[in-house]
Amino acid sequence: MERSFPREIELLKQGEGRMFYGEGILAVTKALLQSGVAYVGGYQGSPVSQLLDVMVQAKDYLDTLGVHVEACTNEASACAMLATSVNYPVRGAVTWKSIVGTNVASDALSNLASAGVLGGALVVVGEDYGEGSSVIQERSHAFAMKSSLCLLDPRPELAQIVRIVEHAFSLSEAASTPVMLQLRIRACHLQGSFVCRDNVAPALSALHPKASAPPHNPGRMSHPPHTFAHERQKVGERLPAARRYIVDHGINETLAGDIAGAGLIVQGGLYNTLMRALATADLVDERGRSRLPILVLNATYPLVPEQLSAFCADKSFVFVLEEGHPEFIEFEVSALLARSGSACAVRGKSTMSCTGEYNGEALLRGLERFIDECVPALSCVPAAAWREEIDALRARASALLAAPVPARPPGFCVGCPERPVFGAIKLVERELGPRHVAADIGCHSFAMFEPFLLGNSIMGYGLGLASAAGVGPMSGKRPLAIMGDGGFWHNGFLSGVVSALKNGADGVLLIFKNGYTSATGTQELISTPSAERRDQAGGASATADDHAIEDVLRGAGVKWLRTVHSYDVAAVKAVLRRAFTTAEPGLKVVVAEGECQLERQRRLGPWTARRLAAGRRVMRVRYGIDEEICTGDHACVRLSGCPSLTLRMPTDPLRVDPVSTVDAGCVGCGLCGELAGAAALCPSFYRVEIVSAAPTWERFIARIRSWAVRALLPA
Amino acid sequence: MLIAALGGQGGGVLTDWVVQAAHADGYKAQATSTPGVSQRTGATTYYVEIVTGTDAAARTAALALMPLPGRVDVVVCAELLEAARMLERGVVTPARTTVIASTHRVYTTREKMERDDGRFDAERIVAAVRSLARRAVLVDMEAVRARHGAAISAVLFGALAGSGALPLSRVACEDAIRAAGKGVAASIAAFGDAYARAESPDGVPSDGPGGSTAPPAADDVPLPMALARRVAALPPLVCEYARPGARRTLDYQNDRYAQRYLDRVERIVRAQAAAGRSPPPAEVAREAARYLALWMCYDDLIRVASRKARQSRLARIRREVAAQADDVVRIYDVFRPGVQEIAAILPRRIGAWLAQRERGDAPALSVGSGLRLQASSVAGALVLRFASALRPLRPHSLRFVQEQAAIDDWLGVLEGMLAADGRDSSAAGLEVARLPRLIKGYGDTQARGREEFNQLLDAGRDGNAAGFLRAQRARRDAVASDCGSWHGAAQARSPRAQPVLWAKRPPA
Repeated sequence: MERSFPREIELLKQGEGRMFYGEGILAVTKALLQSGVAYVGGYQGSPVSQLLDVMVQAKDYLDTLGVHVEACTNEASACAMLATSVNYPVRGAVTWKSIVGTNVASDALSNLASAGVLGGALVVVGEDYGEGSSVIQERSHAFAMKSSLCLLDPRPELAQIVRIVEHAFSLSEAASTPVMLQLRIRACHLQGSFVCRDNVAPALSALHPKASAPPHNPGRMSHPPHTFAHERQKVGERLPAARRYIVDHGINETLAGDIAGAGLIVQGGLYNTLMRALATADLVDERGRSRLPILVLNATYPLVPEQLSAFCADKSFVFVLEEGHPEFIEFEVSALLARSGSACAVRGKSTMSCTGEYNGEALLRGLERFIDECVPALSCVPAAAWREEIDALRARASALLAAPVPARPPGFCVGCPERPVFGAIKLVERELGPRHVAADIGCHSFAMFEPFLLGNSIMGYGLGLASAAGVGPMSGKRPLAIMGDGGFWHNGFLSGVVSALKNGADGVLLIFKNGYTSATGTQELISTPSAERRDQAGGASATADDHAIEDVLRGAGVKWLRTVHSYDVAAVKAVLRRAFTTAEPGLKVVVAEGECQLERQRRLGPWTARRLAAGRRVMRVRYGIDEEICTGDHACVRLSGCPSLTLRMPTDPLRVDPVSTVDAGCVGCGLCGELAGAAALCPSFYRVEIVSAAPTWERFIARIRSWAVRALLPA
Repeated sequence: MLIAALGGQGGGVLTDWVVQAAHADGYKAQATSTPGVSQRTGATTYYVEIVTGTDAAARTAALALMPLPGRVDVVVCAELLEAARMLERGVVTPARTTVIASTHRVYTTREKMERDDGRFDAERIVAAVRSLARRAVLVDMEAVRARHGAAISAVLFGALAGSGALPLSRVACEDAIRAAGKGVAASIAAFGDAYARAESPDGVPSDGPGGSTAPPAADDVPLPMALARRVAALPPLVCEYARPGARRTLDYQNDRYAQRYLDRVERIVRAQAAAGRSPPPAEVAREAARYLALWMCYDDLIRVASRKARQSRLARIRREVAAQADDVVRIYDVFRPGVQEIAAILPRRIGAWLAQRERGDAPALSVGSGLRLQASSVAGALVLRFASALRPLRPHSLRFVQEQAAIDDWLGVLEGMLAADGRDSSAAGLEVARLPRLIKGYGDTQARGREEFNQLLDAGRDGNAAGFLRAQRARRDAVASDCGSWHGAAQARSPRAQPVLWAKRPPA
C-alpha cells in the first residue's frame, strides 16, 4: 500500500471523551466502530480508499473487537457481503467510489434492497463529482431512488458526519432498508475534529459466533413470488418507516431566518459552501446565521412530504440547491407542491447552472439571480459587486499572462513501468500505422494525455478488451486492448478474456502486470508479490516471478501468450509487432511485467539504507544528457514524458531553444537509454552507475581504469 | 489559504502542518483537498481556513470547503506555473491576497514536447503575480530545498510562516514539523532558511532542478590574429555571434573552415548593406551568423565522439550524480549509430551508395544495434578517441558535402530576399535567416524538420517575400490548430506511406 497509517490506527482506538483530529473519511471509519459494526468490506478508489486501507492495516486491533474486514475484488462482491445483514442482526458497512462502484455493485444492491435487512447495512460512497473527480459525472441519487435505499448527504462537519453515520445504522434497522451515505471528495479529505465515544464490539462476531444456521425464510430471498411482496413492503412499510425515523430524529435541519416569503432547500453536503456564498452576498446576520430560512437535507432520499410542505407553507418561492443532473429533488418538491395546490413556486436548475459542481461561485451567481427575480425586498448588490469584481480580476489576469496557462493533467510517475510500453506502442505505430486502441481504467489511462495521446475509448474498469469486441471484425488492423492487472482481476478476465476466447476473437490484449492497483493507492491484488519476495527482490522487479495472471490465462485457453519486461523497449516493440502481424488466429495476450515504481521505491529506500549500514555494495543508476550534443528537438520527451526528463537553457550563447536534461528525481529506470536505442534518438544520453561501498577489487580496477582513461583523453 | 501544488510535492504534508500549528496556537482550523488521481504529478490544490476571531459567532461559523475567488488571503504555490493558474482562476486579488510562490518551474509535458521552445513565459508570470497580489513573496524554493536536502513543503512552510501572512507562531510551526518525526533536522533547517528569505525575497525565476551544468563553451579563448581581424571588421551587432561562431567552426574543423564561415557571414553583411533598408540594421546578418555557425558545426559521429571523449566531462558527471570520493562511477554512452549516420561520415561516393542501399529494398544492415559504450573504460575511451581522430577526413564525407550545398542554397535565398523590394521583404529576410532553427534532431525528427525547411525555403525563392510569409503563417496555423502540438500537426499535415499487413482471419 502506498501509505501506512500507524497514527490513524491509534485514532481509531480512542475512547469516550477523547478528541479526534483527522480526515473525514477516517471519522466515518471511527463512527463505524462506535456503531458496533461487525463486518466491513469494499473496493478502493478515491476518495474513500483510506477507509478500507486503514481497516486492513488495523487488522490486529479489529480482531480484538471481532470486526471482520474484507478487501473485496470488486464492488459487486463488496455489496453482496451486506447479505450478512439480511438474515442476522449484525451491522455491516461497505465502501466504494461512486458513480462507478455503484454501477458495478448495482446487481447486488438491487437484490439486497429488495430483500431488506435485519441488521443495519451501510454503503459509504465517495461521490467523485466535480473538481478532482476521475470518473463520469453522474449522481448516486438515482440508485437510491430506483432501489428505494435511504440516501444520506450530511453537512460536511466531522461531528455531524459521525452523528449521521451512527443514525444510518439505526435508520437502516428501523426501515429494514440498506442506507447509502454519500460523501463528496472534499468532505472525505476534510480535516476537522469531534469528540469520540467508545468503540462497541459487535454481539455477533468471530469472537462470539452463532451456533446454528438461520431458519429457512424464503421471504428473505429476492426471488418471485417474494419480490412482489418486497416491492409492496418498500412502498408501504419501509419508506414510511424511514420517513418517520428521519423526522423523529431530526436528521434534516430547519434553520429559521428573518426574511419571510422565500427559503432555500439544500443538500446537506452543500451547506458550508452555501453559507460562505450567503455571507459574501451579505445575507447573514451579525451572528453568522442565514437571513433566508434553510431546510438542510441531510437525508436526500426519501424526502418527507410533510416536512417539505411545512417548510414551504408560508413562502412564495423556494430555491432548491441540488448538485448534478437530473434535479430529482427539485422535481419531487415541485410535484408535491403542485399536487397540494400550494402557491409556493420552485426555483432550481432554471436559476442555477444545470451542470457542474456547486462551488461557492456557482451558488453565489445563482443566489444573485434568485434574489433579483424572487426576493425584491433584498439587495443583490453585494453579490453583483462580487461577480463584477471577479470577472474584472480574471480579465486582468488573462491580459497580464497573455496566454492560457497550459493544463497539467495527471501522468505517469518518474520511472513508471507503463511509460516504456507506451513508448514502444508509439514506435510500432510509426512502423505499422495507427490502430484502434481500446483503453481501460487505471494509471495507464494517462496515456490519453501528452505525450502519447493514445486511446479511442474508455468503457470502464477492466472493460478494455470487451470494448474492442465489435471493433476488431470491422478493422483493417487488429485493435489493441489495454488492461491493468487491477482491471484484470476486477472483472477484465471474465468480461474480456473469457468472452473473447468463447467467441474466437482475433485481437491483441496488453496487460500491465505491475503488481498492485496503483491508481487507487497501490492496494494489493491476488497477484501482488509476497512480502518475502519483495524483500528478496532488491533492485530487480519484484513482480517477475508471480505467474498468477499467466496461469489463469493459459488455464482459460489462451494459446498466444508472451510476457515481456516493460523496460526492454526493443523487446516490447518486437512482441507487439509480432502480435499485430502474426497469422495465428485467436486472442493474443502480451503481459508487460514491471513492478509499480512507487512500490519499488518504497521498499528500495529501506533496503539500500540497510545494505549501506552493513557496508555492503549498493549500485544506483542515473541518466544524463550531454548538453552540447542535445539539439533541443525534444523527441525524447515526445516518446517518454518522464517528469524527470525536463528542459533547461543551454549555456551556449548561440543556441536559442532549451535542451533536454535529466533532473535529480531520476530513479534510473533505464527508459532514456532504451528509447535512445530503440527509437534511434540522439546520442546525447548517458547512463551512470554509481557504486557505493564497492569491494576493494572493484575500487582497484576502477582506479587503474581511471588513470588509463586520463592518459588517453584530452582535458 | 489555498495551496497549489503538483502531486508528490507534499502539499498534504504542508496542509497538515498548518492545521496542527493553528491548533497549537489555539485557533480553530479546517482543511480539505482534492488529491485523488491528480496526485500522480498533476496539478492539485489544498484549502485551509483558520478562524482568527474569538467571539461565539466566529467559533461556530460554518467553514467553507473550497475557495471563493477574490476571497482568499494567502495563496501558496509550490511551482510558478501553478501561481499563474491561480491568477487565471481569479483567486488572487490586490485587495487581500498574499502570494507565496516558488519561482522554479516544473514544465508541463505540453511545454516540454514542443520541437522548439514551448515554455510559458516565466518573467510574465512573475510580473503578473507582482501586479495582482497584495504582497508577493517569490523565492526559488527548489534551490532552498536542494540546499538542505529537505522536501519543498518545509520550504513553503518556512516562507509562509516568515511572511507573517498567517497568525502562526514560529514555535508552533516548528513543533508541527518535529511532530511529523521524519527528516526533522533537514526540514527545520529548510524552514529556517525560507523563514529568513520571506522577508527579502529575490524573485528571480529559475530553470528548476537543473541537471548538468556544462562547462562554459570555449568561446572566450582568443581567436588567431587573422580571424580576429576579420571578425573585428564586421558590424558590432554581428560580432556578438560571429566571434563565437568563428571560434566554433575553428574548433569543429580547421582554420580554413572558420575562414569559410566568415566568408559567408561577410556575404550576408554585404547583401544587407546593399539592401540599405532602415531598421533593423544588422539584425538579419546577426541572426544569420548565429544559425550559420550552428549549422556548420552539425553533429556527426566525429563531433559527438570528440565531445564525449573529455576528462572534464567525466569529472562533471561525477559531480552531477553527487558521487562520493570512494564511489566507483561508470559512465555508459548510449550510442546507436544507424546506417545513415555511418554513411554520413564515409567518403562521399561510398556513403551515397550505402545511404541509397538503405533506402531501397535490400536487406537492412544491422549496424551498431544497442551499442553501449563505456566512456569511463579504456576500450571505450579508445573508441571515442579514434572516432574523434577522423576529423581531418570530414571535408570528404558525404554529409559535409551535402550540408555545404544546403547552406549555400539557404544563403542564396536569403540574399535574394534582401535584394528584393517590397514592404514584406525586410521581415521575411529575418525569418529566412532564422529558418535553420527547424533543422534539428536525428533520424525521423531531422527528416521532418528538413522537409519543412525546404518547403518554406522554396516558397521564399526569387525574393518572394509575400509567398514566404504566407507559407510560414500556414505552418504556424497548422501548429496552433493542433492545440499547440507540433507533433500532431506534423503528422496530420504530411501523410506517409504505411505498409499494409495481411493477417488470416480465424476459421469461422
